[in-house]
Amino acid sequence: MAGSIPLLLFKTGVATSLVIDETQLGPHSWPRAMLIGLIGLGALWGVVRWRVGSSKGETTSDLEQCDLVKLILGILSVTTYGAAITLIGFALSTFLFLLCWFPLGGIRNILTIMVNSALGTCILLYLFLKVAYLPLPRGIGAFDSLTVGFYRILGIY
Amino acid sequence: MDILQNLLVGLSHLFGVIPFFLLLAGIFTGVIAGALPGISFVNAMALALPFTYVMQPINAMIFLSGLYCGGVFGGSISSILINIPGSPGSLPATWDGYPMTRRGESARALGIAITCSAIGGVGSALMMIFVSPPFANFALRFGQPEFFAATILGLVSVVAIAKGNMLTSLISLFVGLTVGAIGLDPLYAIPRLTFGWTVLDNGVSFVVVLIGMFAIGEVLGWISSRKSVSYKPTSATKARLPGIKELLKLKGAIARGTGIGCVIGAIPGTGAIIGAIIAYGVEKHVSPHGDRFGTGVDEGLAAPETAKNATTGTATIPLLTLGIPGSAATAIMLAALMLHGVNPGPMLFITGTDLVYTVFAAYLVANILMIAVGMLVARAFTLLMTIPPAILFGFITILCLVGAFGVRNNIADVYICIGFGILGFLLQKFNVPTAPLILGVILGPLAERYFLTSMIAYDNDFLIFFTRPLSGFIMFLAFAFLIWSFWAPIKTLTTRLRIIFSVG
Repeated sequence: MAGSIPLLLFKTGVATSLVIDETQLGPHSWPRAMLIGLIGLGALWGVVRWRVGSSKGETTSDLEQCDLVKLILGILSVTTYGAAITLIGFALSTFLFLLCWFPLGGIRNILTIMVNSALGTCILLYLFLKVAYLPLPRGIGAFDSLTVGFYRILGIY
Repeated sequence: MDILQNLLVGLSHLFGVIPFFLLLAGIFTGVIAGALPGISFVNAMALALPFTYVMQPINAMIFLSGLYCGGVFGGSISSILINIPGSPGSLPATWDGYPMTRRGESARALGIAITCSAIGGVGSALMMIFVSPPFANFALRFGQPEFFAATILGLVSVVAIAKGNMLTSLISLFVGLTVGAIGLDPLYAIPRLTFGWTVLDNGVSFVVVLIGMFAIGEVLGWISSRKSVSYKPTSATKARLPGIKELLKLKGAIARGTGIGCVIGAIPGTGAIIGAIIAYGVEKHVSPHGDRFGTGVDEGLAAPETAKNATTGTATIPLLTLGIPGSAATAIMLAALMLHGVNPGPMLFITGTDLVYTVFAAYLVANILMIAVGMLVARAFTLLMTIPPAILFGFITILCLVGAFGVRNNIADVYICIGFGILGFLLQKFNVPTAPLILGVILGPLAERYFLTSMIAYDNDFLIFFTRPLSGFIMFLAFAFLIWSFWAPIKTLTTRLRIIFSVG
């Protein structure tokens, strides 16, 4: 397993692009060497694990001690937030993300959730747009107009 | 004399209104971020990076220098008050600092930590100021083979010193090197490992990997944790600085801590935690009170605190003189310099003297100002700890993703950041060290560029790295590090072979 992923990368990402003149180091020499190293180490790791066995000295993971439901929800919420930034704009996606995140993190008071989400979004908008001058995505279509309107209300535009 | 003159010029730049304000802001941000468990100062530096885009290069470096120096100390506040290290380098402060708090001596413990950190930091800054220029002059003799050898030394020492199984550290390193190879080749502009996705043509930014693995990984670790920890301190959070007599009693611990920290800091891949732990171990053996270490002994706190901040200045020497970062914190400083079009290396000491000496001045002054800032933040610590973790980590997530986006204004970096965040979380859970991976991403492209240009310049002669005296010496050091890191398994193997052959 540990060597199979780099082997796959080697076959698809490096070896098929160019015919390399074997007397001269080409653009694929370095990544090829790294992948060969990774394949070799992965194979060695597999051999060591097989020899040691699962009964003694194997590193167990701490994954069993995690709340897997919350982990999956956390990953989903962060990933959805990342995807939503370009679609619906930074302002709206941030507000919605915080609305979802705070209850997931254990905050139950509706007022705390709403106030922190709204205030936090506004403060972040000022920081990123007025201080750091970052060109944050405004969303597409109607969300773009919505974001611009919101920026005008806040005095950012 | 040149050094002193240039340092005075640097100080004059530093004491302008905006630069001084940025230095203070950096120190405050670093101390607060370091003091809060769950956010290390490295995360804070990565999160602060987008805000440096609009600054002048000098101001950006002043801000990050203040953040770095303050952040390395900040973790000691939570270590001493609530027995939770705010950053990895502050772990030893829990061993003797927290017992002092339990005895009702938190004010004295905080005072010792603040003062010793400042002394160590100033010592390291002075070392950086007086060692960097002659080392930079020396580094002008470096050719591509020497730079390649120095990068290899950095990579090997990261693996040698990484926690955990050596094999997993090597795998982590090679994953990082492979990730660093993604994108257009540095010489021929041919895409590698991009699978036809043009977004990957520019490669994977190490800042994005850093933010993802450290910060997002930490966020996922918190959200999935079943434990609910109360972070409220149970005693007073005011600091009392030690008097001259108390400091004189600790002079041995302070001197040893400074020396150890300065040496360890200069080695790529080490950093504050290694300096602090080694200093604690040495002090335990040397101190007449060594047998009472762990019960709240002054030297047990003073030595690691001094060593911790003594790593900061010398860790910046390889960054400024060779352009090779040796730690995550200096890697972020490298990112800031590159984003502003400044190339660190020996030439920077000729073309960018103002910037270099202003950074030196910033380190010196930051470690002094840290005393006042540390005392203020310690007093406000109770207030900081009332912030619910859900709110803190929510905003950290947003800062991370915006920081990742801001590197190249490319939404693909946000997805890469999240991906590496999940990877970082999983690696932590499976006890695979992440430092080798991150440094592999950072140093891999550098190593490749130096390697290929050396091969072009010296007709594909692989032996050039060993036949040139300087690069040969550096490669020998790398080899020595490698042997030292594999010494235990080599010894075990030779012992077994001896048994087999003697039995036979």
